[in-house]
Amino acid sequence: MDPLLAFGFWAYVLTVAGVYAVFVLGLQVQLGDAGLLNFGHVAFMAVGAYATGLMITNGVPMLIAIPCAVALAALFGVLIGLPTLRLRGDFFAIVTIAAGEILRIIIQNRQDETGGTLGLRRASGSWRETNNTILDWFSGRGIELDRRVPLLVITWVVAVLVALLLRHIGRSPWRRALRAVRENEDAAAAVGKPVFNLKLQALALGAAIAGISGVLFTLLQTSLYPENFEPIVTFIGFSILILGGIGSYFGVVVGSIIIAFIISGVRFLDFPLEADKVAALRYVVVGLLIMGMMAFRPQGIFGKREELHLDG
Amino acid sequence: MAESSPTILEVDDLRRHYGGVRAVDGASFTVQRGSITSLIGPNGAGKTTAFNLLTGFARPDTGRVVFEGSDVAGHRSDRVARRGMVRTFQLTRVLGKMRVIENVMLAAQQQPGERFVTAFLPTRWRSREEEIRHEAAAVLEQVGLSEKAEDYAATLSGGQRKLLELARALMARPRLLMLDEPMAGVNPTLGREILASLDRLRHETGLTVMFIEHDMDVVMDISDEVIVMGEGRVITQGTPDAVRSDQRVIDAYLSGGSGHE
Repeated sequence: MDPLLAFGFWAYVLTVAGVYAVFVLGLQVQLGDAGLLNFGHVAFMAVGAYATGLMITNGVPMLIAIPCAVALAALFGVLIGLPTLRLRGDFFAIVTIAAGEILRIIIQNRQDETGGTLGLRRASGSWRETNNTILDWFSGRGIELDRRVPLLVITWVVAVLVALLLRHIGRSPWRRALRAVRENEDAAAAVGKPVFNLKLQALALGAAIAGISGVLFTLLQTSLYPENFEPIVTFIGFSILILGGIGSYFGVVVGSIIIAFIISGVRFLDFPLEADKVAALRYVVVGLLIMGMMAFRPQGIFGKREELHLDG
Repeated sequence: MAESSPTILEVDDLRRHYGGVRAVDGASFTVQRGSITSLIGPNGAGKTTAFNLLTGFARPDTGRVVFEGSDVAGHRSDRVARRGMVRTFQLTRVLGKMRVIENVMLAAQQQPGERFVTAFLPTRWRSREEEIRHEAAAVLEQVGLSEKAEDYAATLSGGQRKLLELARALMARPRLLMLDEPMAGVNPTLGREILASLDRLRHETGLTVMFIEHDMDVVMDISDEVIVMGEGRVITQGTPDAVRSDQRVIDAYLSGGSGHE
């Protein structure tokens, strides 16, 4: 069947978009609010995913494994932040990308625990059975759902909940202090704001959110491989952020859908090219899109144009 | 009791070297509670470095900074500020992508909603936030920026940024307000009004003010005490009249690079 017409395929792409949306909401807190240029964001997703997978494959019940995995991702954020957050922005960016790569290589090399490049199989544990139970429940009521629908719904419910939670604290004095840190650390410190703690909290919150995206990713893929967590994932996240608009939660949602469709969708379009060239083509498309954005709408789809030229 | 001591700040043998440059080279002075004290000196005398050392923006090599009875030398800048020593910057640091009123509201103390967990519970901080908003509006009124309250701070002119810095520092309810050349670039009439309102504030609330000023004449009239620095040291400390006629001060100003302007 033509994949473009298959509902299951588009359901999959939309689920990927939802996972990205959650992932980038974490980035939005760090970069959009606190001004932290975190180039190693994928590491927090990896912690969330592998912590879930390792606990589940070692017999921990899923409902315990998932919150623990999210907490571990936050803890990893604190661990990365403690030695690095006193660094200037660009140095921080370099350290985070290195930390992410170190984690990925450790995962790759600890084959006995993680399966290394062969992958961590059945990382989502009994999710498939749970999914079937849900589908049976609906079919018992005369509704035949595609097997991908439950996770699609769960993913987007989680994405919307995270976005609502962030909006809930959006007008709080905490976020005001965070934005002040982004604008000028000295000015914030001069009126008594604990700059370092605020940055650490933003990093950990963003890491926890990325950890949630790692959990969803695990349920979606069922097996985990180190190459799922290469730096390109972080940069796809940044593309979404630029596309949607830094500072806009709704922009993250729309940006995620557009980028997920380009990345997952392009390979199924009928180009007169070999498969590996088509795979490369999607990044060309993303690159052109970002360049076009920078030239014609640098604030992103939903960013505030008037904020763009306000420096100093 | 530290609170009742007539001395709010006592600086003892403060030193900071940058490579071979002795930016502050053994400065000692005191600031009396409720006074307006000016720190003057020619370019390169170490005034701003001294401010940085006092407020935690630079770490002294040696020396003591006794504020309200305890040594804060080497403490983090945000801690020093929470203790009540709040500074402004010579080169203004406005939060450009935030509204003017947000810049001021930021400085409020005792806002429980600034803690991460409490941020999720608006009932715990909303009423305090309303108080803060009113207070910030009043402070903006005081410095003449009311009309700009909802503008982005980055759109302010140089002089207005100085006023915003002052408003932010006042909003923090300092016990010792440290102003680094606050009048530079501010229109003189408004400058005089602000000096008058600072004078009023210290009578009403017991605020202590310390100025850095390059131009002696600006601060002589309103200062109770003047500290003169030159080449990293304190040359003399005394009343404006005593300082004005001190031969060492005259020498420092004549020899010490006042031509750099």
